[in-house]
Order: sequence, then C-alpha cells, then structure tokens
Amino acid sequence: MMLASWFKFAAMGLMVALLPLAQSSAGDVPKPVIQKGEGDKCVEDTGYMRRNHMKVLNHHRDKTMHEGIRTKRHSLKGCINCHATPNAAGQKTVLGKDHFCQSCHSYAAVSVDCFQCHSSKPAANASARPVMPANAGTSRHLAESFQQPIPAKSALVNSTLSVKSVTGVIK
Amino acid sequence: MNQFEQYRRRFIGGALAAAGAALVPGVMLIEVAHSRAPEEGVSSKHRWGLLIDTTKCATGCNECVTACNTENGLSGKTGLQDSQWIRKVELTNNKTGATHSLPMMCQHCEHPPCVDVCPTGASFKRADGIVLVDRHICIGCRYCMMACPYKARSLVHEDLNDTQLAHMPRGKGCVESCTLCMHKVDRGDGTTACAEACPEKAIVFGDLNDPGCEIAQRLATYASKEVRADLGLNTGVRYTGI
Repeated sequence: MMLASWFKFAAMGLMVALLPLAQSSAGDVPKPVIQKGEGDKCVEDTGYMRRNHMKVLNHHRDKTMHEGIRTKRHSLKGCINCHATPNAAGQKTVLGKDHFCQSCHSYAAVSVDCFQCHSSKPAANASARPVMPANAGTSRHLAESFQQPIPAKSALVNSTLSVKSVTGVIK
Repeated sequence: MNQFEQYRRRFIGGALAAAGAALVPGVMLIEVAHSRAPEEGVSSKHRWGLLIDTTKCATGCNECVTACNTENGLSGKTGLQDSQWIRKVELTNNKTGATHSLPMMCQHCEHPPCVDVCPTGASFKRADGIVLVDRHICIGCRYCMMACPYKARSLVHEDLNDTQLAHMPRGKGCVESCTLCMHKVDRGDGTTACAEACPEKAIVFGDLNDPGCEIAQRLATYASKEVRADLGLNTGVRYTGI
C-alpha cells in the first residue's frame, strides 16, 4: 500500500518535471506565411480585414446578387485579383498550402467554402484591382459605406468604368 | 431594394412626374436614364427580355447554345444530369408537317412559379425582371425545377473542380438557369451572349419598358406569343412565328 502511493507520487513528480520539456518539443503551430499581393495596401486596414473580411464580403455579395450593385471595392473578384499568387504550375490562385486564403484558414482551422462555387483564379481579362478612394483604409470610410449602401458617385466609380448606352448598342 | 422602398419610389416618382407635367407641359424635366453606374441598383424602370423570331431560327443551328455555354462556363454536355441553360427545340405540326426550330431558356416571367415555390427565398426576381437563383441560399431541393413549365432549370450534380469562370460562380448542389447574361447587362453591354452569337439575328435583347427600344417597337408592330400564355406568367421572352 505504502509502496503504491509512493510510486504514484514519484510518477506525478516525473510528469511535472517533464511537462516543460514536452511543451517545448511540440512547439507552436507555425504562423502562416502570408504572401504579399499586388498593390500598396488593402482596401481597408489589414487588422480590420483580418477580423471582418467576411462581414464586408457578405454585405457586398447581397448587394450585388439582389440589387445588381457592382462596385469593385469590396468585391471578391477584387480580393482575388490582388491576392492571387502563382502556384507551381504558374497559375495565379488564392488556394493551396502557401497561398493567401488557404494558408491563413488552415492556421485558424476554418474551412473556406467560397471557392466551391467561385473561381479561385483571377479572370483572364482581370483589369482590375479595386481603385482606392482618398480616404481608403479609414474606419470612417467603412462606416460610411455600410450606412449608405448606395453611395454617391465617387472617384471610385467614374475613373474605372464606362457604361455604354443600352439603346445605343441595340440600334 | 425592398418592397416598401419600391412602393415609396414609385409613389414619389409618380408625384414628381405629375408636378413636372403641371409645371412645364410637354417638357421632360429628367430624361430616363438608360445606363447605370456600378453603385446604382437595378430598378423596375427597365424590364429586360428577349424577342425570338422563329422564322429566322435555323434547324440544326446551335450557335446560341454554344455561345451560352462558352460565356457561362457550362460543359456543353446534354445528359440528364448536365446543366443546360438553353435548349434548341424542334417543333413539327403533325397535320401539315411544317417544322419550327427555336431556343428555349428561362422565360424570365413577371410572376415566376419558381419563385413562388422556393422554400428558402433563393429563387428571386430582380427589380429589372431577371429571374435568378441566389446560390448562397439555395439548398438544392429542386422544387423550382418541378414548378417551371419551361424546364429551364438544372441542378449541378457534380463538383465543378474550380473550372468556373470568374464572373459566373456555379456550384454543386445548387439549381441554376439562364441569367439573361446579367453580368453583361450590369456592365451595360446591352446584349446577351445568345443574341450576339445568332447568325440570323433571330434573338433581340432589350428593355420591354422602353418604347424607343427595338424589342418594344417590334412587339408593338408584329404579333408575338408567349409560350404557355395560358398560365398568365407574362414572360420576358417572347416568340414570333409560332
């Protein structure tokens, strides 16, 4: 009886002694290597985008799908056009171990479902990175964009897109 | 734009038009805009549709179908489980033997049965009359496929393995159909892939609400038909010559 309890204490002692060793040998999960995309900075602050990119994307998604609003700033296509980097085959993509979306999502253990339907590659004729308005990246601008789903015509829009007259083309 | 917003805008628009008419008879204060900025939503001022002249549509010609497949990234296969947004249909009058050929796609109804039956709200009609599936909400139940009198919708059965085009997301487990090339409409192209591709110019795309538009003028001049007009769906796709 005495021997058994002594043995138990000894075993516990050994475990406590070995604990720091075990921790250090396992190590932390390596931080993802985030490849730098094109352009100088993101359409919003990096910190904001890390936490809220899905909020921004979902908001834009519903506006585009149901109301046909196709501003480029918060569009998924815009994200891909900037953040896709070439894979081994030379194809630009955001998916794959070291690529923009998947590297971080693997680290955070969050599945990324967008690309079951959306293309992970930039369009062949991808003209376009989102054009940055003067106050890009400020929280004030973002707050404005959410409060005013249909913003007034801004530099963001008229510099990038020309819209042809519908009747002119048909005739 | 929600329903209330639509009613409100219609009311205010009507009030403004009345005021304008009272102030300056015969002068339009605001010209009706034909093009749309990207930040501007679709509006019910327009109703997009197609007019198909079946007398010009040639038997055996498949150009519209091919163009649709290319534009939207469809495989082009015609098996039971393959997506087909346009089908070429051959009609024969059994008594006279006369044949007609015509393309059949989503008819973009004003009162779409697919929207009526959708349990999740994925199937919807945009303000400008284009009937669409929001794949983010679609659960693939296929009620809409059963409800559609034109057999216009398809379910994607297999994984598409990232072969989708950037402008046309599609995915396994979702229902899909002709979008009236909404990406082209939103861009202001003023045409659809099928209308562009037709060698006989048998397909005309346009705004049914704009009296100045070729499609509206033709509809006003020549007899046209809706397929299954008896259902009272007021389709956006009309046919002449059948």
